[in-house]
Amino acid sequence: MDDDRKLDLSILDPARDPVRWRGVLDATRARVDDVLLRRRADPLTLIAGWRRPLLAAAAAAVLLLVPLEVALERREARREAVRALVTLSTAWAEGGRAPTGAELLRAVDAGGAP
Amino acid sequence: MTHETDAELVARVRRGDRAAAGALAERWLRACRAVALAVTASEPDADDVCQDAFVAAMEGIDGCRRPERFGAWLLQIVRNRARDHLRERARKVIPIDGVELPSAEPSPQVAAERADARTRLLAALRELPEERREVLLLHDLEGWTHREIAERMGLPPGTVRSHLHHARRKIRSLLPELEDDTDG
Repeated sequence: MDDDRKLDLSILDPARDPVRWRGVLDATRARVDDVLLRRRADPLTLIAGWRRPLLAAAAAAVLLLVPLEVALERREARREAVRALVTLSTAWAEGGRAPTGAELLRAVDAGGAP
Repeated sequence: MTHETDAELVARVRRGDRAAAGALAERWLRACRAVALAVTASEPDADDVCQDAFVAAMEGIDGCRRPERFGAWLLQIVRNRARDHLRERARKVIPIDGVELPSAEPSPQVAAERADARTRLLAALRELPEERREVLLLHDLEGWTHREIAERMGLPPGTVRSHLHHARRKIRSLLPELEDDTDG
């Protein structure tokens, strides 16, 4: 007896009774249809379906906006420093005295703060 | 028959696509039945369990973390459902023969002979451990390869071969009249 030969189990094959098996398949499909129809109507499922794309969009927005914000902040800080230096220079000119090199350096380092 | 992968069909089911669920049913329901049969050793129970398990899988499709391994995930649901079903049956008698699906049996005599052969084969299958029954049915009934069974059951290929060898030997010893499959 060769135990490596396939056994004939076709008596258990559902396809032997195709009408019955088609009935099982159709009944399963009908039940799944109901499940999926309910699933479409469920707002939580809808949100769950959008969760991944929304997270991806949020991550992309953060990646773009953070460097932009940093760049804008730097530009704003420089503008503030120049504005303050102009104000200081005007004050020195009106006072009739020229600032020393050290005073100028300190003003530039402090972003124009007196 | 669709050529889409399981992962592609699962993605469509998640969007509520009923045709994709139907394609998965056509592809996997036979295997679900074989696994359910391996656990319950009863055809009517296997028919019920494979349906229930497939519907439950579609309901919980978001829980399928690796859609490329949908088959293994689905068959585990079938095993769990089938075991629950057996426990439930042990607690109370479920009238499984009450619901008759349409049948194309040719005659009462042939039907009776087949039913007798089935009964003897199922009784012999019950003598095997559950895992061996599953390997035997997936290989000799469903035509899966050793590799497919190993991957989908999470077993080493050597174990699959060993289970198959021992299962066939046991069944042949219990049913000497059972013929070999001429297809190999």
